[in-house]
Amino acid sequence: MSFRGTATSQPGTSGPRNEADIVAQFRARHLELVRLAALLLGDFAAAEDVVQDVFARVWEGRDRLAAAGFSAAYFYRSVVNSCRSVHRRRGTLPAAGAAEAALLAEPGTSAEDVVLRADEDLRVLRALAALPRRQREALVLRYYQRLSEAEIAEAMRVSRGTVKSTTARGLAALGRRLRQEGL
Amino acid sequence: MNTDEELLTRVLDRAASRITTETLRPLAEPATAPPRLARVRRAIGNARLAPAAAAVAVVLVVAVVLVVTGRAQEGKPAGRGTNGTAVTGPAGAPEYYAEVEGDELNGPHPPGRVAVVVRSTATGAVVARIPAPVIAAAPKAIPFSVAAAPDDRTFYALYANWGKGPGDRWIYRFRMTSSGRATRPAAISGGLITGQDYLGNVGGFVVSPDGSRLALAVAGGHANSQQSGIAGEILVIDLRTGAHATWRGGMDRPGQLFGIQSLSWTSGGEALAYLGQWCPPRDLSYGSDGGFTCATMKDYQVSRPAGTDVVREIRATSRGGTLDSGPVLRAPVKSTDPQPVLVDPSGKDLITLRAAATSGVLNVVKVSIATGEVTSVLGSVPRMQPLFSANHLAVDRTGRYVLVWRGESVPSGLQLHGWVHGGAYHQLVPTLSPDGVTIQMTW
Repeated sequence: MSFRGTATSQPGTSGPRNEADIVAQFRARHLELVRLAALLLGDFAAAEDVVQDVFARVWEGRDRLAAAGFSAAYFYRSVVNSCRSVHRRRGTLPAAGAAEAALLAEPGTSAEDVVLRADEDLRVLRALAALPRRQREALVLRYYQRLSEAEIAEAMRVSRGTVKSTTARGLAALGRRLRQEGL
Repeated sequence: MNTDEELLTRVLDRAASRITTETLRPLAEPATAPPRLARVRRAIGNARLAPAAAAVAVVLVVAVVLVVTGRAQEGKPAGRGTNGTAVTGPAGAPEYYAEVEGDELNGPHPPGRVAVVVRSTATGAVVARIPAPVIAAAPKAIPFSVAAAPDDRTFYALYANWGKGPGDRWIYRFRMTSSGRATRPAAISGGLITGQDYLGNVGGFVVSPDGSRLALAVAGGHANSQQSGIAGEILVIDLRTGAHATWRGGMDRPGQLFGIQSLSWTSGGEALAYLGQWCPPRDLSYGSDGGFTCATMKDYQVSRPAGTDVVREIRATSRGGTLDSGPVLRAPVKSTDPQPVLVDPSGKDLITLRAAATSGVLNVVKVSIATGEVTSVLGSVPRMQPLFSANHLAVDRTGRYVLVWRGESVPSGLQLHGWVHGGAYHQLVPTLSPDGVTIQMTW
């Protein structure tokens, strides 16, 4: 796999060799995993909780994972699965409020830029949040995580064909919503 | 890549970049496995009577009656089930409660078993026993307080180095994972509190409704508190930045010490309510839980309550201020029967204990701040004889479930240690005995 992020090795080709490696790999990807969860959930605090929970499972099962020839794809698959559980518990996804929370002004930009950019970001994230869960996952994994179809299929535990059709439908639906949002 | 794809990529990257390593909560490793429930039950079964039994024996009669009837009625406290487990709570109650439990903080021996323990509300079973963190400057770290965040899964614990007298306090955070395990405590930013001399911190350790701030009663530069061993100031820690804001002064009375007995947040987190008490220094005494009581004592019994209580509010801004900067929620009154006071999450009522018409019973009531009238009775609990410890309350975020306890070393069947909701009192499994106390509870 060719995950973006802060890890120092390519997890698919040379996985961690022992239990300590697994924990270190997770810690190295902490930020990237929280970002992924935040984009899937639209909620930073819940994203931190999800990643902490996944870390606890990884930590407890590190000996088993090491013995099984661990790949870091497991982290991403676990985060996606845990985000699904959060969605199921909530029933619905928080729409605009969560997106707003992620749209804090960046230092060093003019007030006008901040307002214009925040408005654009808000509309896009709102449109994304309104998509069905699978389509949202496919789009975030493709356009934020930069995964290939095969890698998305592994993370979502679906076939490559399903990834292709889900992504296409998601993009089309997103486009319609963006037009409604005036973008 | 078409225009929509480019826009989506750009926005996702930008949104994700707002999350940085500086804003991340550190990952915490899970703590060790909890002890088996059977061990806890055996320990509970070995409880022996303590000297204070005579003073509260009347409560045993009430408890036995209620074990037989099995259900609380108006004006009567409920008991445990006959199998020794707690009565199962209704849906809606917090899944866990946490408590600092173990040896008396103010007892004859150094406390060796004091720990933060997370228990199931439904069964009372120990879900996790939190190991004390390794603090280089505190080789004998023991917990004084624990506070639950509104997510029902994150907890904060306050530790001190036992036996070193005035010194520092450390605040750590742990979480219950979805698999029901606790993470190891991790130090929080801004969690070092220096120059403290109080023994315990009962009721003065609470997380804001949005989980972003932690308020605690502390001893600081105030002239009274440095010498008294009681906490007379309020500190609010921003849990994201570690920044401190302090409220001190403004409550001085000649010849009196001023201490804070309980703290609670209004629902929006914009204000803190506190119960303050003035006490003549000669009448100050310390309870088994480390809290203080203000009463004239004779032959180890209270002969006359001696303090004066006031309930006030402060605006929880980032700047801090004086303790008299906000409105009075309940005017100063001579304490004839000192009881804890919290603000209801609605901000309209106070939650406190009041004597019921039935002898030997206290009602947990909501009292209108505007009129002083009782607006509802949440439940009834046995009334203990006032010895050295006070009653305590902790309310959940809904204001509907209230923990009630008393940090006193008494036989397990006589402990005030439970929660009220919908008019009923649910006795929780007793704190470990012998010589065990519940120092503080939270949910």
